[in-house]
Amino acid sequence: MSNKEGISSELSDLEDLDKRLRDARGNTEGAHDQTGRGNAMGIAMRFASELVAGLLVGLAIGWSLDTWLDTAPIFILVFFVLGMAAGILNVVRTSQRLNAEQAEADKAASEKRSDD
Amino acid sequence: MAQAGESPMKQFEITRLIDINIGGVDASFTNASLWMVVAVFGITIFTTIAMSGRALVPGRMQSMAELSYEFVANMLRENVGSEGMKYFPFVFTLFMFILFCNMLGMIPGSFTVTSHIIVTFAMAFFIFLAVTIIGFAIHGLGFLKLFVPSGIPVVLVPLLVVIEVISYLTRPISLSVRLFANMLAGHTMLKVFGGFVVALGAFGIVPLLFMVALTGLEFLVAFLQAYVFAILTCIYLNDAIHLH
Repeated sequence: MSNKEGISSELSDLEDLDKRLRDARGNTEGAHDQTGRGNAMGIAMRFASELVAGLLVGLAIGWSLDTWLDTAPIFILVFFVLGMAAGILNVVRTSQRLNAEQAEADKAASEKRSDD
Repeated sequence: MAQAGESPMKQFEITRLIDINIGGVDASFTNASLWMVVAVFGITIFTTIAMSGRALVPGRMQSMAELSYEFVANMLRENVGSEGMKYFPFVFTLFMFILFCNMLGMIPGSFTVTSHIIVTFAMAFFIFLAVTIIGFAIHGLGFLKLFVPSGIPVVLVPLLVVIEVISYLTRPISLSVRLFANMLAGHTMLKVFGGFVVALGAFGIVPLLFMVALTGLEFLVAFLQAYVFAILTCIYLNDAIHLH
């Protein structure tokens, strides 16, 4: 008996929670813009680190090949350029991914708006 | 905040708390080790206490624990697919550890473990090794196809393979440098502006107001960087499991 009452009171708790959640969500429509701007710096840092990492790895490979084969400065020059290419490739891939994410988010947002 | 003449970099100094020396290797317990232990205990206490109620309608603490579970689980499902849930414990641990280290670093006077490149690099390199091993374990030598882009002239293949391999090798570096640079830059900036508040006297109110905004931004960065680290781990896992 008491068990049944417990369940029904938990169910009404759930309904109450659902209502409160919906109310709270209605109030946060404008919050998206704020995080979007904070994100821009994160994206910039991401691109910068991709570029620098490409260069560093290229230089490291070139330098170790040169010291190993005693061919300085041939490999370090070749791998400097290749490292730069790899860095740019990484940036292009990252931005493609970010663009796809953004497009998806925009689509979801516009669908949500037309629902209301 | 910083006394006059104290360097803003002093907060990153590592000090030995307990000297330990194992066979000539310096394995001392430092302030960095201490804050890592604090983070691990913090996560354990947070998750066990929050979930101890097991209520159908969660309270505040339980909501937070469930939210972090859902957050990481959705991240894995969206980026890797349902097969990725096998790696959920790994990604969840990683995300919570970085998040707690970043957030604990925001307590004045504490130590930010993730502002040290060796810590972030160790994590990133472990992920890199793990993902490579998972890739070879699933696809065998077929994993090497990851380095051969499709639909290009045969002449260009050797060049592009070299570039792809370099690009693959940059993963642990860009992953670790990003987290480390963000934390280091943010905390240095806070210290420098904190110094301005003291140095400017009555006019210190201007940098003080700026500091309030900056602290808010730092909390955002602390969360965002944990998120970026975890989501890139998911993306790398996805590459290893599904190739392109």
